[in-house]
Amino acid sequence: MSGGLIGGLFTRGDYVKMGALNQRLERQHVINSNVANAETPGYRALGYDFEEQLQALSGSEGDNIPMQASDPRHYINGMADADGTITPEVYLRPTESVGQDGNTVDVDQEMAAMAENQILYKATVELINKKIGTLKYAIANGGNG
Amino acid sequence: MSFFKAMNISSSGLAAQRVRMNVLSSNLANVNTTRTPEGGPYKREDVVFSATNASDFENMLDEDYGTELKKVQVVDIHKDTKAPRMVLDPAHPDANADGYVAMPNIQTMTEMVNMIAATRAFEANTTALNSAKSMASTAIEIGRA
Repeated sequence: MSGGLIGGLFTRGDYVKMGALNQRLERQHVINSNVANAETPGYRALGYDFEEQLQALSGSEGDNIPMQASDPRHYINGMADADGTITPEVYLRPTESVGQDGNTVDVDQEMAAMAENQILYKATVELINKKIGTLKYAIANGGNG
Repeated sequence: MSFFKAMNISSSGLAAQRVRMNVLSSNLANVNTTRTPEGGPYKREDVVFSATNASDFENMLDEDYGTELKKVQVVDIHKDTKAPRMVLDPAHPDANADGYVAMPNIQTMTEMVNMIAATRAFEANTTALNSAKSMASTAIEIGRA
């Protein structure tokens, strides 16, 4: 999928968006795990951050900047880079509220994070759809100019 | 499928809260029960939640995640060992020589409060599950524009 026609149609920004969808899904897993264990004694709330890494990946606003391979195992391919370069960790989230049973889940906080995650997921899908819509338009009407 | 992992975690939460609700209902129903198969008055029961690894056979191959994510499981239904409540009622067939009847040591208020907590936790898990579901159905819409 690297280079060629497809490589020209989809920009680095598009692959970053696709990577972002995967990351949002992983965050959803972490939130669901926290909510399910909101009353389990001793359970520690988990966190999952990827925005900073994603931001670093999307880098400058310009599209189609060639990827840098700093390791022979890297692929020069938007998809692999957008997906492979982000390596967020699931970590124990430091918290101020520790229940009597050692549980650190704050359900309100989780619900807010979940709502945010869901909206941003939809927004990202919307952006990808816009892009695909543009491509479809070009494919369907490009020759009629 | 990654989407189902989130739903699996939330459904474990739903199942656990439902078991808890059943146990609480049983406590409330037996608030005046003086006879049980094992003899003596009914003993109040309580669930014990435990966080278990979310990785099952399906996602064991998926080594990146799943080790930190936790499902919730009811590992034990604990019988309360508190002494029964002694009520003076000499006419009762189960009254002892002094005219006292051993009644279950159940505080209706405690059970009701636990029931509210279980309902809220169930709702939180439903919301989390619906959130994952809505993300999945949004993903299906990619490219349909």
